[in-house]
Amino acid sequence: MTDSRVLAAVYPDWPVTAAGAGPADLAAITTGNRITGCTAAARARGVRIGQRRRQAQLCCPDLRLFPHDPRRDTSGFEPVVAALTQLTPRVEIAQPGICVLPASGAIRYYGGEARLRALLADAARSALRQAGGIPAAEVPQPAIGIADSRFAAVLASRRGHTVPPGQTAAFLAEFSIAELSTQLDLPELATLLRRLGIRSLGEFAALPAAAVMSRFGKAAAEAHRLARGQQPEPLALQGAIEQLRVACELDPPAEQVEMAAFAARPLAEDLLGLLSRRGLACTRVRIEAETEHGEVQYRLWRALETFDSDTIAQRVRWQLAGWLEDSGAARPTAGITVLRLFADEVASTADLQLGLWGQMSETDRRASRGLDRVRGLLGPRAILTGLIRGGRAPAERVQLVPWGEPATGPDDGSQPWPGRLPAPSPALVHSAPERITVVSAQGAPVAVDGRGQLTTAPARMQLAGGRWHQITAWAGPWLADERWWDPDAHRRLARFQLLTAECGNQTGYLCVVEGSQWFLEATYD
Amino acid sequence: MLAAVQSLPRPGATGSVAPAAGPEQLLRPGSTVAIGCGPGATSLLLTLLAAVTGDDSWAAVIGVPDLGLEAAAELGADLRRIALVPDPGPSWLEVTAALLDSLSVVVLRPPGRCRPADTRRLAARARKRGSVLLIFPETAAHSADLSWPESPDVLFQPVFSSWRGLGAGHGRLREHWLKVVASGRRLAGPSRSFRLAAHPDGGGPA
Repeated sequence: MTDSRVLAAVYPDWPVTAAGAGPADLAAITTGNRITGCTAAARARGVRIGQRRRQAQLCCPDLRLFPHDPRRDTSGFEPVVAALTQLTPRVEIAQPGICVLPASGAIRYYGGEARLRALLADAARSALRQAGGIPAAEVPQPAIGIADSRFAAVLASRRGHTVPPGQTAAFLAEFSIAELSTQLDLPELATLLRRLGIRSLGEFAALPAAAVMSRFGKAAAEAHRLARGQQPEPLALQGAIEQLRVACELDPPAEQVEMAAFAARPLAEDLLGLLSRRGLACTRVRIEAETEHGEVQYRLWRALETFDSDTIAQRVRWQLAGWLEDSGAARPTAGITVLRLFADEVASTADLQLGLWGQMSETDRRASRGLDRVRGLLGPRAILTGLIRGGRAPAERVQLVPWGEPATGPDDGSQPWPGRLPAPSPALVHSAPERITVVSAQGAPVAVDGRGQLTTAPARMQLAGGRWHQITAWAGPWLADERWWDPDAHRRLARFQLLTAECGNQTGYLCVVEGSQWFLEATYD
Repeated sequence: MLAAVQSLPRPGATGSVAPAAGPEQLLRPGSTVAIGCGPGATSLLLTLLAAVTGDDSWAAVIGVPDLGLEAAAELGADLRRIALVPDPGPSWLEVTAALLDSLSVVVLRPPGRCRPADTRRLAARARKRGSVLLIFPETAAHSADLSWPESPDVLFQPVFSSWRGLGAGHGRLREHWLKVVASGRRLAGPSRSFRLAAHPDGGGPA
């Protein structure tokens, strides 16, 4: 139990601010076809996050739209982070627009909370004014909240509150369960809880912890702790953490973002490999860059859950863009020669497994650690597990997902799919169907007529590789008329089972005919 | 590391050679076993995976793409406990060793011929950790020679494979009858035969 307080400095709607719009402007950010951010004025007119662009333009025809640009968001935020870092060293970027820093030490040093708030707000405002991206009259004030935990501090910032020590749970109780979706990125959990009649964080926190864990799983149990005002326990690894760092030299020095960012991904993979060999995952990373002239810039980034190498590489790219493309005095005078990554905060992977089970057995944990280690060696997509899905083609029936990632998408494994072949399923499912030839006893190609019936009995088949096999039995068709409503995607397929014999041993083949071409989809080996 | 050797429940077993003992009985912890090239080898592999994972143990399959996981599930496998590494790349040795450390059964399709030193190292690792290394060669290969220089503790050789249910233009593949002969220096007694019949309605092999 620590007594450290956390301060969150938040710019609500940061992406529109970074794009140059003030709160009174009518502006929104679009990602693809949907609104992902908007100004207060736009919200007053009915624009909402998640709306389709056209819907938003209907409620607000004068709406200015900006495309989603995380680099612009980060570059714009960089002066604020730089200014706050001058005042207190361990500023952590949760995402552009939100930073979090440990407050106890700073409050003592600056002589009180009110003073700290004023200092931080002023520093942020002058940094933004100097950076010049936003018209001086419209430079916003950051909203500052102070509480015992990160989660509570960000929520407290909405009204600029300070949550007294120990009263976090009471403070959080009144917030809506929707905060699980917006703050913690758990929209399915939020919907599920709402359907069960749980509307507020207080009601959620009142549920017994063990029940939440067994009913909803690990991620929900973490959210439950946060709703109760508890922080996840940091691992007592302070000494060992110094070892968890990697560095690489860039030769020739990188003057452009892309040159440096290119080295970032393998470096991130090295770091994560280092961690996963010790059964650890990274929850906060420190990215440091040094130039030929000895200028150093570092930033702390927090992961939503844990970092993978792609996300770290992306943070490196954003951070370096913010530094190298800075228009003011902070810009480095030489190219970057060293890139360093530090695992600033870690967690044990055993605790973090987004389990398919509420509780993991010792065998499961052990297997998890080994698979994590191999994933560190080979990359996140090298290990796959299978999930039964719906579909007709044997290849569609099972979806391969990278191990450890939660399953997404509908699970229709139990639904009937007319045209699907019944069990037993084939032992080998060829990911790339092979072209084959099937002929009658007279040597003529066997075709399929308009009703899916074969024009003559199949007698021999030739597989890739040239060998001919005698067909001793066959059946079909299993017809599939797919996407008949879409003229471009319409496919008519007829599937057949063919049995061949060699030295008394029989092998079954699942073949599909489309047009006049036969393909081998699967083998019953 | 394998859960205690036990036989699977056998719904609808019909006259198999040894009704209570399937080939998975021979997957002794710490051993290196192999499946010989022959018809039905993949079904045999899936049967063994089903027996292992059905028992709460974990298995990994390295270097074998296109495995029919739905067939494995029908035979009783728990897909959540099967990890596939279809392409281990040049560090396949390290990957196999790492998985032998933490999983009960590791299935490996060796990439080409292996050096005896490497195979001995992997077999020793399996022995030390109490896991099972299962060598599964290319199905298309027709030579009797495995690309594995050491002879395994147990060799499962599929010798006969037939299917029932398909006629001349009617029916469907229903039952797979597979005869497997197990031999090896670690086998107490002479070689044993197993007849596996997978019934789609009954679920498990008989």
